[in-house]
Amino acid sequence: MADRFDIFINDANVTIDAQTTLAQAVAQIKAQLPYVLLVNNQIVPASLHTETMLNEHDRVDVISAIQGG
Amino acid sequence: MQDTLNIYGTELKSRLLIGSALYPSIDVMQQSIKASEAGIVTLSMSRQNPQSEQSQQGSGGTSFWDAINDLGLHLLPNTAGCHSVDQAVNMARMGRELFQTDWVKLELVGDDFNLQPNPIDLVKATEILLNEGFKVLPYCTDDLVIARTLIELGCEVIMPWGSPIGTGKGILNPYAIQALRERFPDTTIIIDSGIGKPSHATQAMELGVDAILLNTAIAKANHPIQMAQAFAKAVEAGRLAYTSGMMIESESASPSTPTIDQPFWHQIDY
Repeated sequence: MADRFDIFINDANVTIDAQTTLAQAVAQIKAQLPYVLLVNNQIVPASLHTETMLNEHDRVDVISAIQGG
Repeated sequence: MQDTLNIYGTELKSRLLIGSALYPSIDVMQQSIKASEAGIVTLSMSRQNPQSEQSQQGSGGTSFWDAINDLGLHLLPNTAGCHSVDQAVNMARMGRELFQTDWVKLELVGDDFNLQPNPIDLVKATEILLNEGFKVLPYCTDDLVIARTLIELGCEVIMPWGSPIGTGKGILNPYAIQALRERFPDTTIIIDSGIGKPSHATQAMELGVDAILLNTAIAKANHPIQMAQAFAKAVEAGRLAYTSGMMIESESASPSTPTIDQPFWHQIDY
């Protein structure tokens, strides 16, 4: 297994260490709380952010609040 | 007894719900929401881009979130822009995770011209979400049968349109709204779109709906804060009128001032 590999965060290519958790990966792009995280379109509960490991080419979405009517 | 708005058991003093979009600035948004005296504010979700200026100054970002949080209101996440059951259900789940609320303003677009809700998929998504414990506030048309279906599924609140989102045309079909009130006296009915001016809100409240949800009419006014005050008063006026019992309309005139025993009584005959 490679030491580093690529994932996608909000469609942008991001290279991470193989042992990077989901929480560490989104910190790497300076994501700001509060957010909800999806990995491959599945919501990952906040309680699992620090223990969820990522695989090569995983797609992560960082979703946060915006204005809405 | 206090006259309150009931949203799935939560009692609220204000009968105005307000959106958080389209304001000229975050500061004006916050002041307008305060001026409206609304107890519920709607908001939405999108992908975050921390490296973008947009996240700080645009439609989202920490400044927006801080301003909303400071208000201390009930949050009502929407599923705006969803075109399928899967999209809407997933977005509702994101809203629950992000905002820690079971409430969802369920929007499912059926037509891009007038943003009319897709009634068939709306029912499907509502059923799924109710089964997952959501408290669904479905944005629907004023169709009586769709409304009944939503209520029979378990919706305690329905949110029919007055007219399409952002048009400001007011209540296009007062008969349909009145029919909803007649048929579903125990369901909370909120007019969710099309209100363009305070008199529209008053008219809707006089028809007996329980509350008004609006955004554009305040946010796009020349003076949003002042307009928010106007809407707060208009909604209250309409509610007071409805609960007061309005006079019966008549085809013939009748004097409001007593004429018997006036000095010229019996002297003039038109």
